[in-house]
Formats: sequence, C-alpha cells, structure tokens
Amino acid sequence: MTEQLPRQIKAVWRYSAWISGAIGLLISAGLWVASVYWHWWLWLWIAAIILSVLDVIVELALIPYRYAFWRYRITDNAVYLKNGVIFQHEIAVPISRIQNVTLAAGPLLQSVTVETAASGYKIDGVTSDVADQLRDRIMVLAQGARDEA
Amino acid sequence: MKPKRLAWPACLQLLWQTGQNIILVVIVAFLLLSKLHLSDKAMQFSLIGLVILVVVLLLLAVVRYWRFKYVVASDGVTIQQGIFVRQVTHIPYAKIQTIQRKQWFYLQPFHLESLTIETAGKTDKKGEGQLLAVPQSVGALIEHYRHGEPIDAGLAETNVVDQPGEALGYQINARDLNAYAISSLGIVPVILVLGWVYDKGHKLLPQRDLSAVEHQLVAMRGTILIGLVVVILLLGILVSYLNVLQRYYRFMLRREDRLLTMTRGYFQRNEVNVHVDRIQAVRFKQSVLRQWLHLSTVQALTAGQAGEDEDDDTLVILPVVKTAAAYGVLAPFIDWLPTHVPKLTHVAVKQRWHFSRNSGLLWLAALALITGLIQWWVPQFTTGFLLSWPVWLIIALAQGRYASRNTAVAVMTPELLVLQTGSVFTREQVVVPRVKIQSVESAQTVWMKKAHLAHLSVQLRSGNHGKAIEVRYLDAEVVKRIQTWYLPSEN
Repeated sequence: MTEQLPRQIKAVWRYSAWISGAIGLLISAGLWVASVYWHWWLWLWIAAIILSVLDVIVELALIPYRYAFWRYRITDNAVYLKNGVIFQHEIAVPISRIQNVTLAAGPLLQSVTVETAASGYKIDGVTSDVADQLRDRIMVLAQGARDEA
Repeated sequence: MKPKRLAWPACLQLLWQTGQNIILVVIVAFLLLSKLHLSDKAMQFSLIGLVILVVVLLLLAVVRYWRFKYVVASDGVTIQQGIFVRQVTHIPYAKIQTIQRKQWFYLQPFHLESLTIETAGKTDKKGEGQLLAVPQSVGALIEHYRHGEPIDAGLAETNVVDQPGEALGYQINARDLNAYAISSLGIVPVILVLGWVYDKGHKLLPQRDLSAVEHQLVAMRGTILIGLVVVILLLGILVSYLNVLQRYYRFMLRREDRLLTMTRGYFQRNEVNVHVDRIQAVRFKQSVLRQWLHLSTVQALTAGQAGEDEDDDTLVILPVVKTAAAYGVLAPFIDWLPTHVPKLTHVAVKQRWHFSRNSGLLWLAALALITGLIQWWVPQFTTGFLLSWPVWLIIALAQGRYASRNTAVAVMTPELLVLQTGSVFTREQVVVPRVKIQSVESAQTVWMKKAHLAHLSVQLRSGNHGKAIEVRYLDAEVVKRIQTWYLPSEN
C-alpha cells in the first residue's frame, strides 16, 4: 500500500514558495537601500529581485510534479520513501534501525521525521491523525524489532 | 578499592599545561603594560599582581591534582574531580568503547602510563575519563573487569560464537613501514625534484648577459636562496619521514577473545583497543602512490570517538599491509571479514565518461572563479593563469578517469556489502556487514533513468555522527539488487 501525500501539501508548498519569495524581496530591498546610501553596485539588487521572482515561479511550477512523484510506504520491516522530480530519490530504512520518530505540526499538516543512528528522513506532510498513527505504528514495530534482536 | 590520586608525574604534567598558559598570560600582560604608560608605582603594583596571578594559577594546578581521585571498582570506573564544584563521573565497563593506553618514554622507568577511556556518549570531544599517570596495573585491572562483563546487547548485533582464550597477533614488517613512510610524503618530493631541476637549469643557462659583477651577485644570491629552500625541504622531508616511522614503530595488532588491541609508537608507546562488535565497517585505503607500491592502510569505522589525532572516527587497524595479503591477514581478527579480495562489479566502461565530465565541469567552474578573482586583484597575472588552464583540466579529467575506474560494488556473502570509490586519487574499499547499514538510498536523474543508471548511497554510523558512502553511476539493475538484498521480503 503505497501512500501519496494529502492534497493539502500543495497548499503548504505554495505558501512556502511565497514566503521564500517574500524573504528574497526583503533582501533585495535591503540591497537597494545599500545601493542608495552606500553606493553598492546597482546590478546587485536587480539580480536579487530577478532571482527571487524566478525562485517563486520555479517552485510554484514544480509543485504538481513534486506532488505526483512523492510516495511513502510503511511495511512491517521498513519505511520506504520516494521523491524528487529531476533528481529522483529512493530511500529504504529498516524499522529495526529507527532510533526515534519526530512529529512537527504546521498550520495545515504535520511532518514525520524518522531518525536512524546515521541520518534522518522526513515525510513532508501528513494529516495529524495519520501522523499519530504512523508514529505509533513505527514505534510499536521498532519495539518488536528491538525485542527480536 | 579506596579513591586514589594519580601518580606524582601527573602533577608535573598539570603544572606544565598551566605553565604554557602562564607564558601566554605573561606575554599579553607585558604587551599591555608597555602600551599603558603607567606611573612607576602603578607599574610596581601591576607587576606584583602579575606575580600573584602566576602563583595562584600554579597553586590551582596543584589543587586540581590534589582533588582528582579515581576508583576502579567491579562495576565501573569512578572519577572525582573539580576544584570548587565536585564532579563525579561514573563509567560502567559495558559502556566503554575503547581504552587508550599511552606511555611516554619518561614514564616507563616508573611503570606508569596515561589512560583515556572513551564511551559512545555524544557529549565530549575528549574522552570521558582521562587518567594522566597511573600504574600499569590499573589498566590491567580495568581490562580484567571489562572482560568479565557482558557486552551491551543493544549495540552488539553479530552472533559469533566466542572462543575464549584464543589470542592472535600480527606485527607489520619494517620494509613495508619504510615504504609507507616514504610514500606518505606525497607531493613534497615532487616539489623537491622541481626545485632541483630549476636550480640546475638556472646554472646551465647561457650567462651572456651577466657581465657585470652586480648581476653575478644577484645570481649568486638566487642560488643561495634556492639552496636554502632545498635544505629546508630536505629537513622537512626527513622530519616527517622519521615522524611516521616513530609513530608506527613496532605496530602490533592483537586479538584476545573479542577485543582488538593496537600497540604502536617509539617515544610514546600507544595502545588502543576496541571490541570487535563495535566495528561498523572496515576500510582499505590506498593513494595512487601506494597502489603502485601494492600497499594498503586498513581502518575501522567505529561508533563513538575512537581515533586520536587523525580523523577522529576512524581507528587505524593496520597502517600498512601488502594489498594482496590484506584480507588474509585481517580475516582472523574480524570474524565477518572474508579471506579473499572480493569480485567487484565496476561501472560500465561505456558510462565512465560521466565521471570525467563532472570533474571537468567542476574544475572549469572553479577555474573561472579563480580567474575572475585574479582579474579583479592582479590583472597582470590573468594571461599567465589562463595559459595554465589546460594543465588543470588535464588533472581534472585524469581525476575523473581515476574515479570511474575505481568505482565498484559487490555483495559478497548474504551478510556483506563492499563499496569502492576513488576520490582525489585515493582508492577506498569499504566492507560493511548488512546489520551495520542504517539505511540505503538510491538517486537518479531523469536522464540517468533512460540510461539505466543510478547512484547508490549507504548510510553508516561513524564516530558520533552519520557517514554516507556514495557509489555513483552504477547499473540501475545492480542498485536494485542491493536494495533487495538489504531488505529482502519486500521490493
């Protein structure tokens, strides 16, 4: 049973695109001020504006693809993640190697991070019910795997 | 056992450490005083204050020595320390990762040594327990207690039957060590040879223009300068050669039960040990130079800090061993290691160009950046640098070619994976048991998908953090096979 992320994740990604665009514009504004008062190069703030606008456009344009390519699967033995549009990643984490599970709640969705002794992997967004279910399931499975070992 | 103090040389060592700080403080103080233009009286008071400060610091060192006590009990080592705040550290034997025993030559007549106890704890950069100078019997006692205790079940995952009483040993031979010491100099001899050639060329050049005495003086000064540089280089080479020799002097690898012990050093006899089950992976490493000499260095990746001053997460098991014999020599020491060199699956010959292309592009970008900077600051050098581009690019392509030829993987037994990479003209072969792999990732771009290629990345625990080993541009089929091998029931 391979799961797709909930549809709301698109909204989350959209907001984060707008936010990073806003931050980019703020930096551009700062550079503009610097160019007026301290005579920094003119092209610096123009380049910053162009870059932040481009960033928002690319991020927004990629959202449907990102959504289409994101998959996760949790079996009795392992957590599998699959994501990425141009760079496609496939990750396999055995339940027995999971050290802890972290939930982080945003305004719309929760993210679930599983951590091994070496690295951490994030499922970008799930509804809070699913997040709790996932955490309990992974922890129960991890406990089982630990006991068997 | 009653709490004991360290042996008296530890007090001298602490005083010496404080002394180094004091010298710094005094220098800074004098610099400040000379700048301040104080009156004679004020100067007098400052100097008296300085003397008092120095005395207090020295006294504090003695007090620190006085307050430091340790107990070796049946359940663990306890250390009490602290001048104002008493700090008690208890280290249970089961949690000990490695014990380092160091003996400077001046401690030898007193049968004293320095002990560093490392655990898997994440906090400290230094070892949890450091006993500066204790009788050798203390180390022996700790080892004795440590053996009696069962190993922490959470970290020990391999189930190899114990054969108590078995003891093994291997000492590296002097000729290999010599070759190792020479080849560790790397780039320096090249510079030396270039310097020599330049010197000769300088002398043999037709000296038509050098008619005036002045000119000759200038030329002579140049020759003297070059001679001086050569002498300094030679000395440097000699020192670093001797340093490597003394560092690995009489390197000995031993195994008792499930404990590996490495002993080495001339001026400072250094002993480190590690439990076989703590080893996450074994790495065979050789630079191009050592590939020609057929020599390898063997390191262990362990959980928790283990090494000393090199990379802190790697433990040198054998500094030098004949490549062909490496597996055979080590297999008796590490149960899961096979006795023969694995048969590797390399990157397809048709796909090798990816490596050269990437390396070339990377270097091009770096070169462009550097050229830009040179144009910015010292425009007169730009043309010269541009002319050197082909040299750098040839190195870049060679590096890519080297990487491509050395990249490989192999699933050896149902339990072992071998990953080989070639970065910056150094080949690394990592043998890792399946149970020590934390997770497996694969990555491919849309274009790689069409060409049936994929990168494989294996996550390991090394030191106090994760370590990824990436093998690039493998056949996607091979990567798939390794993923299925890693987690069989699904996929």
